[in-house]
Amino acid sequence: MKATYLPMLRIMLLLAVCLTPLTAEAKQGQEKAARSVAMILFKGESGVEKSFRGTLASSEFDIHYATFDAAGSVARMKKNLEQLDASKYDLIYTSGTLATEAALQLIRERPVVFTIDALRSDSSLQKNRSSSRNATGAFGAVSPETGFGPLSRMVRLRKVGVINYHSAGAGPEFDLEKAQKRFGIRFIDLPVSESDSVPAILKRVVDARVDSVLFPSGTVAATNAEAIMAGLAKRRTPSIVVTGESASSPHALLCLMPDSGELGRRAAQNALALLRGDSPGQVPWQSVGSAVMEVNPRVADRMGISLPLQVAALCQGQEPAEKPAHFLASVSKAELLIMLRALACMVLVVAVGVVIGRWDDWLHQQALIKLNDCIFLPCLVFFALHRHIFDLGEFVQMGVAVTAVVTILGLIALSLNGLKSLPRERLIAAVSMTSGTVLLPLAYLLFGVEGVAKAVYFHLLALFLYHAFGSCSGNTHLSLRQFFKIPSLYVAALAVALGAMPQPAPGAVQEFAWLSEKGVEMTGMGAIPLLLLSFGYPLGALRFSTIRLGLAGGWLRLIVSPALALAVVLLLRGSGWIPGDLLPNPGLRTSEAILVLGAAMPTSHYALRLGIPGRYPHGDGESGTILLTAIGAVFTVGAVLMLIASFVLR
Amino acid sequence: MGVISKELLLVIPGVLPSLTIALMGVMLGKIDINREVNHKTISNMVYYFLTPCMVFSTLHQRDFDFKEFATIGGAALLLIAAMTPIAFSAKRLAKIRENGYCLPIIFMNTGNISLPIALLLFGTEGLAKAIMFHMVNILVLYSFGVYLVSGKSGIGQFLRIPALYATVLGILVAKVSLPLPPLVQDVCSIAERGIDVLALAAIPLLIVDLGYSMSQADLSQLRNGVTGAYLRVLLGPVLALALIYCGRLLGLLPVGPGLDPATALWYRTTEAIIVLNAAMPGPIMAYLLNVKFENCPKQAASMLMVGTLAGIVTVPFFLYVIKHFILTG
Repeated sequence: MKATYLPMLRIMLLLAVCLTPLTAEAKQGQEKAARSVAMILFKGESGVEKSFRGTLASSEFDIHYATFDAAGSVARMKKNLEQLDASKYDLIYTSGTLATEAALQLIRERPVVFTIDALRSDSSLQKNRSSSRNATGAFGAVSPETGFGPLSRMVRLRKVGVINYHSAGAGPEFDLEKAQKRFGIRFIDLPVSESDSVPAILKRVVDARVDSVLFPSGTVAATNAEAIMAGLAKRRTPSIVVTGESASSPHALLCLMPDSGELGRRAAQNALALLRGDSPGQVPWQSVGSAVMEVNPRVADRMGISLPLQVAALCQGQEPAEKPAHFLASVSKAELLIMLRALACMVLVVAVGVVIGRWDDWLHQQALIKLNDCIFLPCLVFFALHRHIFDLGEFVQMGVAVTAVVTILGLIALSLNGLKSLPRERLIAAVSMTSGTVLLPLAYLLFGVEGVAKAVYFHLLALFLYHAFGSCSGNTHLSLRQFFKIPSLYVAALAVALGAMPQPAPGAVQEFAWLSEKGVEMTGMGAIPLLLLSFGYPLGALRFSTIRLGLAGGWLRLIVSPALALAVVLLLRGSGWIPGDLLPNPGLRTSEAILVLGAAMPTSHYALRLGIPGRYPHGDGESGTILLTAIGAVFTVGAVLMLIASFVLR
Repeated sequence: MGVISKELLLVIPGVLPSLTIALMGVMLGKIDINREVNHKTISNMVYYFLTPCMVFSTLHQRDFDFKEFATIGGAALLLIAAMTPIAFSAKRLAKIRENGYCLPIIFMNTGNISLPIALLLFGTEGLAKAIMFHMVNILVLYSFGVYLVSGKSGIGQFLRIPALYATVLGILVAKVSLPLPPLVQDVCSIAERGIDVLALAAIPLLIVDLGYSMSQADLSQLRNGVTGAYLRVLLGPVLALALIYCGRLLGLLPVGPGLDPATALWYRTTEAIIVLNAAMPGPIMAYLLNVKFENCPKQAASMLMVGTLAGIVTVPFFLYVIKHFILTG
């Protein structure tokens, strides 16, 4: 009996499921009141209009749209407006300052809802705000300051030129003095006019010796703005643009624009209020402060700027359009290219190190170690930390996570081999990671200067742990006294102390300090290849036949360690200690990424050298672990980066 | 303004960072009692890998302009030609028979000191021009210079310079644009990134190496090279200024208010690079050639040392001259 009714029941249920939305839709359709909206567009529909329509579609009104697109022509827009019979429509929608101002001159009897990416202080709309009785809408109010966070992750910012079209009547909307105090960046006002020749403006920019040029909101509409940006790109000076209009600018490195979805939604809310019977005077104008960022990877490429992974993950333009089928598909092509470039670059430089080692018969590694330890690494540490804002909470979080990973890994290594039978060398080889020679350069290649700052914390914490554990085991070479002889430790302390101090007085003293820093910065950048060369130098001396002996250590180092780190990160997030919503704070995400990446590093020569003094290359077991982890890391680090991009940075 | 005047601020950007790095090299030399920093390892690294990477990295990212190369290369040749009889006269006056005495007077250290200053003062544009000057200087040193000290042509030696091939490759990549498939383009961009990263170490390591070498100098031998060193660092830039003056008179290096600012900037940077290189002390390579062919190495060493130390004063002075009489004059 049951078997007979079961198929029928299934069919009935299926029909019910299919018909429910249809009947609900039909019911809704019956209840919806019809309204008509005229869309006055200057340059086609954008995400703002899509969001506007989307919000209205879910309302109680059945909206019919009539679109009047001027396709970028002012004359055509005026003609469209003249031919428009406003009385036929319940509402007029306008997009952009030009269209809105023109519409308000002609249309008086119908309510107008506008969306404007950036409302210029000198626009007639802003001036006649109180008298515009039939207009309401939403406008973008993105602060240029939002752009400095991402840009400072890509380029070192010291002097930023701010383009100001004084002659056009627009006063500087960007408070230079306030921003100067906040960011410690020197802003240089570059007054220009639309009639100035582009080469003359470029000469002024070159003379000012600025690192980048900011185009505040409203300036990009100027006739020569694009040409200035093109000239700057040619001279490898990045442009930061704050507007929605220049999102497709082929020459700007970074475009900040109001969130188009939010702008459209806010305007639609105002439109709904009007359609429900409110008068425009009762509906206040809405400002949208939330921004989206677009980085132009082609411009970055041409300028030789490497796009950090966390910035690529933040950029809206590079997100995959559709929901990914699996976690790996969520990694965009740009992110993949960044990872591939960093890894390939690392392999190339390490290979050069192997060649140099072979030429030298591995006799002079001490030369590289001395150069790195005494000059290049301290310079890199100073360069990364002295302008980085030190966050004690974040440092403690990282300290706890590193300690947890190293301790658990040590315990696993001990339990695998049995407490008494474990040779110390194997334990060191499995637990110690190259937090200096490989992590620091890789962090720079992937995450920029911010990544190096976080990697320095990781490096110092890892070194502290090795020396502390060594001290407990009675090893004289791995003692806390040795730890306090590391020059980078004091340089890091100095850099953090200098970073915490208020900015020096502007003028000559600041200029002098910057110039001294420039030398340190140049040397610090030199550390990136030299550290990798130093890692590669002794690798050629190790025998492939020993790889088999390093399998256990290699497995722990390359697979278990990053898995543990990822688990610790997710645990800290789950416990609420690290905020789960990470989008507003890419700095925290970089810390997490560095933690996982650091845990995936190959075995450290340094720790082994200290752990087993006077015996280098080491015994077969340790040599095998070093070689296996060095080769295996090329693949496992790639996989870990994919995990970072999927789970940590998103 | 206080202690640091505005004029001084215009000059020190190119010198202070280099001095900071060189000082670190000197300090390393002083604390490295066991001489663990092997000079040969560092030299090999710089000579075979880092400098070629820097040359390629700088040249392939900008358009190659033959006129620019001809102007800079021609100036380098003329300066070497002008310094040659002066060096021989100085040799005769010092009653020295070996031609090796002339090398640190005729040639310039266009690598260790000039490249970082060019980069810091004039950006990548200046660095590219300085590299062109450097290549011509090296070409003549390895041909004419080797001939002077050994009596044989050193063209074979010249053809073994890795930076030469990096220059040719850099110019080719900049000049020739092949329609490559996207995958090949991606692979090339990855390789370029690797080269760019290696190039980062070239300039600081060159300066650290110079500082490290200076820390081992025997100061008691300095007086042997005073005349030659001063001829190099004082007469060289004066000759370069005269050359530029002639170039301006002949219209080869145009000046004037009607000139397009970008073009004017191009010419003035070229002139500045010529004067800057002419103000450099003798090259370390000249000393190494003298050692190799046993041709007056002691005098060459002291000339280099005096020239480099004097450069601490003369280079900022000529940078001041460049700023006032070339860039803004």
